[in-house]
Amino acid sequence: METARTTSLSSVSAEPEAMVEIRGMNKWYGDFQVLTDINLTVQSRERIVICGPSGSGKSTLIRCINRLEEHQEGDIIVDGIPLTQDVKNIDQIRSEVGMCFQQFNLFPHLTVMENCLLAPMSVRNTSRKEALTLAQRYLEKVKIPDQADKYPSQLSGGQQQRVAIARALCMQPRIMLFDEPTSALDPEMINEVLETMEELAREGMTMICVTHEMGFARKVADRVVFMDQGQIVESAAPETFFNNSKNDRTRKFLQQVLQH
Amino acid sequence: MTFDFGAIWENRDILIEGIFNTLLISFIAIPIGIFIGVVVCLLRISKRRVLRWPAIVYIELMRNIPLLILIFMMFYALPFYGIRLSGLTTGFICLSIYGGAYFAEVFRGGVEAVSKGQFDAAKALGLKYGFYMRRVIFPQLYTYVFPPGTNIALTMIKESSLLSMITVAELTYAAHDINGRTFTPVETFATIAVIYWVICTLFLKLTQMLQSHVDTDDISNSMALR
Repeated sequence: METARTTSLSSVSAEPEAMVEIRGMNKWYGDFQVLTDINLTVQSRERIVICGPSGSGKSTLIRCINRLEEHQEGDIIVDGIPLTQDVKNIDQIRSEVGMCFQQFNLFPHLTVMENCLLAPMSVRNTSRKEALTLAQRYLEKVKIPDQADKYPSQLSGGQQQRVAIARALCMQPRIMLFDEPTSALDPEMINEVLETMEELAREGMTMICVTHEMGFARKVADRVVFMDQGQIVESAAPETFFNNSKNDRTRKFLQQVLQH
Repeated sequence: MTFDFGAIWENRDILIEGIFNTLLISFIAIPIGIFIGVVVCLLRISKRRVLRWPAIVYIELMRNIPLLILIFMMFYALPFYGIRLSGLTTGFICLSIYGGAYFAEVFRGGVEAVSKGQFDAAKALGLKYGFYMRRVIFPQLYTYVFPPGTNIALTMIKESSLLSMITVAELTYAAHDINGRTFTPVETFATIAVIYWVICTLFLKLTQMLQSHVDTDDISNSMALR
């Protein structure tokens, strides 16, 4: 299933290409520069965790990747497609990039199943029958197949976030973006979401996660990117990042995050 | 003092025609007004200035000109430009575009009340603008839009009485007519007031039933996916 898709696609472009490539990207809100000279390359199957103090531009950065936010300077190339004003490119990128949000953002007037069917049927023109099979499979993967006919408001936060993951997966994306997926959850629900994300990582999904869950970063990430004041301060393997960072700002941040 | 309702009963044909015309005008103008409201709302929230500005001008004009003046302009001024509309047609058009402006503002308020996250999620899934407005955003508006929308519709029913000024044979015109024939102003206008009250109350009940249907079923409304 997943692997079949990846192989068929990788046979088209033989050499392992960067999934996301960001070069010299700058972004302003009015006069205020939120992102400064961002350079980031994410390879296929790589798992990146982005962390940093609040207001450092982490969310803004990943929201630029699927054009929820517009960048003013620099290049963003997603799966070989340059992100420009061209609506066709934006649509194509969005259909390849799945995203989960802090507030889940499920559609409250639709059942869990309908939430999952909407995009495949309208964007990919999948038949209803196929879309149902697909949705069933991903709802099973996130371990809530029996809630398919409920409305989002009838589910717990953790369940809602897992539905949101399933909904994104139904588009069979090549990349998943997570914007603080556990920040709005009660502590006892954080693990069920993290476990789902870990499983996704094990299966080889390319992932970019903004999160404060340092345990998850240590366990799953190939690379941890630390941001501060709109800049990428450090980008390193978790080992190096957590134990041997040479950067003062990183060390200070880690002290604050890890001392409890 | 004695009341002579017999005079009204004798002229019931005029009254019935009046009720019919008031209902006809209202129940054609309200749906058209809602349709105009949806279209103008979409223009009003557009990021493109060329689309947004005409909508703003339209809404501001409608909100700041008395309906009666609009009716007079269309009925008495347009013929100078070779456009001659019947009273009834003038009524449909004026009430629709008048209500449409208010509906547009109510719908815009609704769209703005839907959380930004809903737009983010729809875009991130790759849904097209027209599609997600129709299937994701607008279905969530009902709760926000129903009560103020009902008010606009009720106002439209009552304001249709202004059309009596251009001799449209609706309810208020019928009252003038009957009063002219029988000189029973107390009975006539009291009767008309009660009839307006009944029409509006029934309409209100109807929308309340509709709303509770939408609320409970809500969400199970299947307009989302067929």
